[in-house]
Amino acid sequence: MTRLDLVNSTSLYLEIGQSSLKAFQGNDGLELTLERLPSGRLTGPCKERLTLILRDFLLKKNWQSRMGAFCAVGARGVSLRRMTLPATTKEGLPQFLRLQIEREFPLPPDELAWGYRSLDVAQPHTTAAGPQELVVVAVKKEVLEEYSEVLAGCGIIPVFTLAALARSRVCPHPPGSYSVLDIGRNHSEFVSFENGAPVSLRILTWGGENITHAIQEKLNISRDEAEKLKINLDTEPVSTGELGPLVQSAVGSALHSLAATIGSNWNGQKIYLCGKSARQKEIALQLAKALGGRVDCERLEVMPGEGRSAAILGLKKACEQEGGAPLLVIHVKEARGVVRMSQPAPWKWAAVACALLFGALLFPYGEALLLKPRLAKKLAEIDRSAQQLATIDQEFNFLEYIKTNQPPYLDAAYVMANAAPGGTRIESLSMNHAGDVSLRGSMMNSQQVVEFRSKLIKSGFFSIVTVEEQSPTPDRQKMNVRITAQWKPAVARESLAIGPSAQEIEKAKAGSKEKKSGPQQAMNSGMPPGIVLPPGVVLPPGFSFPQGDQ
Amino acid sequence: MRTLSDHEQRTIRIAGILIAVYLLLFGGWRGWAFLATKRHDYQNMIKEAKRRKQQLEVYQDKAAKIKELMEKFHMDPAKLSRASVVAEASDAIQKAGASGGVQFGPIRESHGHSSAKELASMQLEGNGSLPSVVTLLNRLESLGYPVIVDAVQITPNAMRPGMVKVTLTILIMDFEAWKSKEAPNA
Repeated sequence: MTRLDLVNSTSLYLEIGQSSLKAFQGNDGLELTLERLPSGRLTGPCKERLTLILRDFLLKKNWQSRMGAFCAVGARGVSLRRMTLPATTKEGLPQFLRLQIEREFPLPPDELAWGYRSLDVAQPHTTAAGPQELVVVAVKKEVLEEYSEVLAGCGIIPVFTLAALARSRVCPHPPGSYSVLDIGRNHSEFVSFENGAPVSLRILTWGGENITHAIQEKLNISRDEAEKLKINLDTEPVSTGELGPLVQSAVGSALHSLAATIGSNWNGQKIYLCGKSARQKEIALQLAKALGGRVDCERLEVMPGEGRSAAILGLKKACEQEGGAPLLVIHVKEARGVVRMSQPAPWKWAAVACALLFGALLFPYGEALLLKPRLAKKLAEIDRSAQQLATIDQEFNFLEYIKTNQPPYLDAAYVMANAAPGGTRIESLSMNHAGDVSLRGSMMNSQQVVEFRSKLIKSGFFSIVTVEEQSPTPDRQKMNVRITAQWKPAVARESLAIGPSAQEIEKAKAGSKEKKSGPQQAMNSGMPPGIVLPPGVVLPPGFSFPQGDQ
Repeated sequence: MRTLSDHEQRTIRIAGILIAVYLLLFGGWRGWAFLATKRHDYQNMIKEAKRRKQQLEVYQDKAAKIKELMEKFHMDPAKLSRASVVAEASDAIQKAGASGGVQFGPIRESHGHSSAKELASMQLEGNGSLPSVVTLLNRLESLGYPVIVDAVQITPNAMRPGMVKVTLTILIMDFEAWKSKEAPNA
């Protein structure tokens, strides 16, 4: 199966005759009778019925919204001519052809729907110096416009061709002259070929009804009975039964009139028969006999079934098996372009791809449109809660200020207690939150003063330690001192490890127990009886505040 | 009505197509510009939201630290009443001193420096053992009031052996002053 086959596997084929319309798609067919006005135009109710039934037929079988269809039209009203044009370019050919049509056809080109095909198969539209042989088919434009209108109502874009030419696709192409005869009910289409090229197209006023009429007259029976006998001929040999010879004689006489019509204008070698009235098995032999035995007649086998005909099979064969070999397309409109069959699947995917691309492009913008209100709402909520943030700021600054401005009085006392040598007596101690420390007391000697100051400085807690005054007591036993100091700023003190160690805390706990056991021991530790230091506050041995004036 | 010639029909068709293309392009351009503006606004909002998010992360840290400090000081600044905080703080200090063995004598109260965002200044004189004074100093910051000990003076009590005399100068801070945007003049 070729790619083209796949595309065209569900293509629609139509044949519009004088009295019927046949449609074939996939494996299903449809046949509708046509009602025409005396002018040959379709009646209004007929158009409506066609539209409804065809639309229903297509909906069952196809999801496509619009599809192309090859449509073969009958020969009534159609002119087929062979023309010879001088050599010209491909672009100039339609113009030449138009002038030729204007000269040879009874109607101007604007009123005609016409198409052509070059008979030079090897080099169509040649630019060589030689003349070009063309076959031109033309029909009144209004006829095809009417068909187009009906089919467009069903979502069909028709591509018109001639049914007689389509039929020739299913028969062999013998050398020399041959014809294809499609026998209808009241008339027949006779198209003749020479060396594979169409030469003439004729409508013969002879059809299956002529055979019925001949039987009716010969046997003197009603038309219905004659019709039954004719239909029986499709399956039974004409020689059987009592009426056989009479019927055969009647058919023979009818075929003689047909042969006379054909033979008057044609002298080819072979005729291919098709059409409903050509289903009689003996008709080819009888026609050959009627033609005097000089013409070979052969019936074209067409699979029976609704919607099937030689023309439709020819169209199908042309599209599917001959790789889309050029059909003679009759253009309704002036524009001569390449007619493309509907290929919905690629267009569908292209449309989906375009939609996806468009969606991808639009997505960031869609996101903005959709999510912006939500984001704006959230931002508004944040704005409303900005007051809370201000409160957090205020509380944080306030608490941080209190924290950083809490003077380290206990740390300073601890450092001084650790640095004080044994026997130190402190008379007064003043500190303020600016870090100024003033201490007045007495020590055993000047050496202790030096040690005390050195330890204070070494602790890293104080930036300045000044012994403002030291003087011996009148009994020369002690040294009175007045010391001022300045502790370092908080940032500089952060790295210091100030406070009692774990051992000192344990010692303090032990001391507390001893105090409970004896007040005298408590007095020895420098603490008044019944007083317990807070956790973490330990006074070193030898350091004591004065016990009041003794 | 006169039937239009092929040439006129073609002209009308071309004009119609051109007008349709113009309208399509114009409308498309306007629509695109509208969408682009919306998107630009949205992106600005996203930037703003990110900035706010970073701010909020900072505030999360601040809130954690506030919680820590409030637990340390046993104080919720939002619950402090400007009208009563001085009295309540004074009462709490005296109770803390009394429970620790410090007997307070005269207490002097004065207006604080508004420039330093102080609500009041208090000077307290008390007597007690050294450990009880140290304990009081330790407990002052966790009384639940915004107090800062401005100065401490410890001297021996000449009248009562074994006791020390302590003079405390305490500042009570004004939280309301922090509600203005000015930085504190500490």
